[in-house]
Amino acid sequence: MITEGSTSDTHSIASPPALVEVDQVTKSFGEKVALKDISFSVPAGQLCGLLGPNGAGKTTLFRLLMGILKATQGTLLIDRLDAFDQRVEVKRLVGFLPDEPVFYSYLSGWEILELSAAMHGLGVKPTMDRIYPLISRLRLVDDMHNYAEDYSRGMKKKLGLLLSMLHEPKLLILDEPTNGLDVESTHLFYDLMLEESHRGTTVLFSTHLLDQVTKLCSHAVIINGGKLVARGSLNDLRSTFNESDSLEEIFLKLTSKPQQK
Amino acid sequence: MKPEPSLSRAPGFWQTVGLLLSASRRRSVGRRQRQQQLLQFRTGSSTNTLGALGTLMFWAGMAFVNGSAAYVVHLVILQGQRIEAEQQGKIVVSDFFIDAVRDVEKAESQTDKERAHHDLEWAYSWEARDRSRDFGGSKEKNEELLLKAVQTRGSSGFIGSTASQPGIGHPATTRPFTSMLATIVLFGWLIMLIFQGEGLELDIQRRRNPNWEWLFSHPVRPGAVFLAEMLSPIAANPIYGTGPLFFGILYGSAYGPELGFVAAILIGVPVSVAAACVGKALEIAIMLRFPPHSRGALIGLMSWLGYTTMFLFFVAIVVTPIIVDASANLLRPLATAIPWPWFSWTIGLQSDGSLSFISGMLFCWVASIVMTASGVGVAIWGAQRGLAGSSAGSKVTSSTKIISTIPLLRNDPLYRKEILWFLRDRGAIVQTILIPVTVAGFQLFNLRVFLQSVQDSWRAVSGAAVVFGTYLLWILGPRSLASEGPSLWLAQTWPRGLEELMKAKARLWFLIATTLVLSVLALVIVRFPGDTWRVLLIAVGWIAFGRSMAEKSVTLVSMSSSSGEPEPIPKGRRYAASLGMLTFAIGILGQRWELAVVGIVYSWLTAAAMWENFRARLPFLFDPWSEKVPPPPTLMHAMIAISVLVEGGAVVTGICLALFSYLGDAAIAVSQALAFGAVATIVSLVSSSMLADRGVPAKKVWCWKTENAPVDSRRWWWSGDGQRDGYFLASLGIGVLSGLLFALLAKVYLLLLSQFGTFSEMIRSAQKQMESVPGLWVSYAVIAIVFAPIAEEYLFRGLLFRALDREWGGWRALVGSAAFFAIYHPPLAWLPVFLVGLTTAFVFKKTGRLAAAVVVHMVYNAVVVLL
Repeated sequence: MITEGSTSDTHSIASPPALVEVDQVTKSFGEKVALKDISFSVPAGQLCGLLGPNGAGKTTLFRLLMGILKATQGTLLIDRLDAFDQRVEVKRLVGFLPDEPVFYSYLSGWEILELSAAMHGLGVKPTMDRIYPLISRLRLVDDMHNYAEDYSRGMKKKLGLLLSMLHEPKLLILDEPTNGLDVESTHLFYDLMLEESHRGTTVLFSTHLLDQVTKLCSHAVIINGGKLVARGSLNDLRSTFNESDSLEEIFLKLTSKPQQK
Repeated sequence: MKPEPSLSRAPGFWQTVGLLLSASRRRSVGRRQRQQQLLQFRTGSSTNTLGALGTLMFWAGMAFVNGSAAYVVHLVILQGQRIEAEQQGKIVVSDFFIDAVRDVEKAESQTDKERAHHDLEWAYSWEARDRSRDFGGSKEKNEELLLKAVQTRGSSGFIGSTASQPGIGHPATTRPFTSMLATIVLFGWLIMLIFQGEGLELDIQRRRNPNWEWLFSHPVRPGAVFLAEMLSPIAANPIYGTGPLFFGILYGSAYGPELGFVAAILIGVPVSVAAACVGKALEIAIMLRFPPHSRGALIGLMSWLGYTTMFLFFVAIVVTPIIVDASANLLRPLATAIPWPWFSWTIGLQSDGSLSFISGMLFCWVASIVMTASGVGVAIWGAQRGLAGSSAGSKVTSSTKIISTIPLLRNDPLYRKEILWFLRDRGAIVQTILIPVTVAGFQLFNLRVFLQSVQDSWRAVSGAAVVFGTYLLWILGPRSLASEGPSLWLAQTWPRGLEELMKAKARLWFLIATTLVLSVLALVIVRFPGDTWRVLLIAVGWIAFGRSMAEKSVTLVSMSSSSGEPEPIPKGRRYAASLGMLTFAIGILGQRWELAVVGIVYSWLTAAAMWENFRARLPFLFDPWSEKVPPPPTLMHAMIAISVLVEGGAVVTGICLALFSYLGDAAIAVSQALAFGAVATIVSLVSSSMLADRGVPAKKVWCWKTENAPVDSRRWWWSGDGQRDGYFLASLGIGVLSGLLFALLAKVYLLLLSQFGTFSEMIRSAQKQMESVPGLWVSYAVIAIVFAPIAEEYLFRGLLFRALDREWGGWRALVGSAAFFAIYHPPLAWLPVFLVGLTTAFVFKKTGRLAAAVVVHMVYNAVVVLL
């Protein structure tokens, strides 16, 4: 069941062309089909949430966008560049935060940041100066001297976020960004994501927390079992279903599976 | 307290072990099924015959190792018994020699005496030769020794080998010196088995098995979990599977073959299992007790020990007698100071000299149980401080001072990262230095024949440095992704392709290896300034070869699965990476430059072939389902076809030689020409049809550009672009002209060569051969002028040069394909053949038609053969 609300929405307002265009993407691993016929687009500057139950294919979709996997059928375009064939150029525009970031065993936080900055072709010193306020905001300054592999889960996520924002990308792809963070850090992440969105960066993130989506996003994409179930602005979603339903109830209705015996 | 009937009972010790082992077996079955699925999906066939063959050979190799160990025990016992016998003042000689001496003493009549003396002369020379081979020393010295002994003491000064060296099952084995030697070798075998672990693929970033936390959340005994973990290497590493062979052979030589077979099963199996357990237990304890940065080093040391003892057994087969002899005086006091009963107990040899199978078996069983139990105990001890071990946060060592002094490292972030990793992970140094040293040392031992013929030590040292550098690259290359590990996701967020990263790593490994090799060579120059230019040549050879080695070994990387298990490198790929290594090493060590050049060319072409396949594979490291093999004909296809040509040609030459042996000398040249001509034709026909099956019509090979041309099968497919563009005849004309030109050059070259005495001899004898049998000469001419050019051009230019041009492009492809063509001819012919290869490739590319290149080759051969 696909709501067509999004297309009418984007056409009625004069908005910039979509930064991310996913067109009838299918991805299968041998006989197992992970994603089937997914199509959606994310306009520039939007904060868009990707929702779905476990195993829906969210991480697979992100990996397709990052060029780590190649779509069996269909195309993914980021700023009109093909996500797989032109993945090296795409990386200049995209910042990625994986679900469980793992870091090199023998490098400290500083060294990893410097390495990533250099590999993006940025000057190390100016980049470090630019990113320093963010590091202190995330309260990581004291730990940056230690080996990154010894960080707690939250610290690793924060370092991952720093790495994704290092090169001031146009698009931020975040896989469950607040998963495992304490309350204070979660709110910090929310603030950062909203600030980035106001600065014009497109943010696409996946989450299970629907109140997070209600708080942050204007648009959402819902997938279930590899298929697209809904896409569009939150208002449109609510208007299609019962107005008084919370997003959580709408989500459950859309993604309910038949009862298993 | 009686448990409630409704509460389930926790599984007992052995039940737990059984559950975990069956889970482990299902895992490996699942892994194999998945690999078959992938194979089926990608290539359409689910059998991997090459892989199966590789596994078979690996098992055979491990069986050989265990057999060699038993043989070394046997050798050592013989030597020990010999030395004990010689302690009594007698020299041990072969029975043949003693009989000869005794014959001289017993001879009465004059004729008998003369004959006996004559026999004795022979005996002296044989015995002296055997002695100098086994124990060193020159033949003359040994003869003198024997002579003096015969003169002073007669036959009583000797003792026959069968009398003095009765072998294993004899009470003489219980004497202290022999017993000690045998025990040392037995312990060596045990050490080899214990430290082998899951195989010789060493994993630098050892992570704790993440399943342990989950497993221990069940009400199971930790000992059972560890025991199951310990038993897992047994299936993985065939050295445990073939371990019982050691016992089979030992017991077989003591008790006879039937009991030996029984012993292999009843005794060999428990001991192998126990050794595996002890090894894994040590590893578990190290993982739990040591901080991460030392873990890798310690486990690396253990693996290296297992590796080295294996090589030492190979070496020991050859050098045992010499070593035992040389060190006998040192070791004897040790023999009497401490008791060394272990070997006797293991084999059931009682102090009174009788053999008891039962007591040997019982001792081994007890030993196995003790070893296994202590292994489990050590693992539990390791877990006592909790699964987190005592690691905690370690301080970042500041290695930045070293790095900032080297400008190259300071500026390139990737090199910085690798060097930091290298310096901080103590395991890295252990494994990347120790292993190549060991493997290179072993290889040098294998090549000792060449080393012996080397008069100057500078050659040996430079050769050794080059071999070491080669193996360093061979080991480092596949590790290129290991230093990334699961952090590879970060590298994939950078706007740099993975290919660029891998090439950068290849360059870095090459720099490291070259620094080491060149420093050694510099030392050699300092020490032997007179041979500077030769050493410089070796340095040049190294740089040419090493770079290709680095490129090749980097393509061997494989990604670890999400659970952290490294994917094994396919044996075929490993084999391909080692092509050229041996030839180059022999060339450098034996100062045979032509072999070194062959090795270099072969290695570079293999590197190009492997990179072509690797480049197709690289974007799909995480997505093997999307991986597609590169479209044929690839470089690898071309090289395989050419290898089949060479091997097949050699075989057919052999057959022809046998058939035409009545021709005498002429047979060689004729057979070769016939054989290669025939095989080349067959190979190119077969390749052509195979390619056609895979969707590559002949036109694609014979024409340079067909992408834009409409595919019209009615067109004459010899015309370059698929159209009659009127240039066809012109291109053929160009071919004829170039052929004539180079044939002229070749004649001039031959004339020049004939000025030098040796060459003119060879040329004249070759000419005589040709003229001796006219009928065969005609067929030789036909093959050389008609068939060989077509086939050779098809393979070397149509397949190889095309693919190489895609991969390297430009002048490199021209030179590379011409060089590869040249090395298949004798070194004298290299220059003209190389030029012909260049010309035909150039003509092919420029005229767009392979036919023109064929014409060049035909005309050239015609002129050279007929005129």
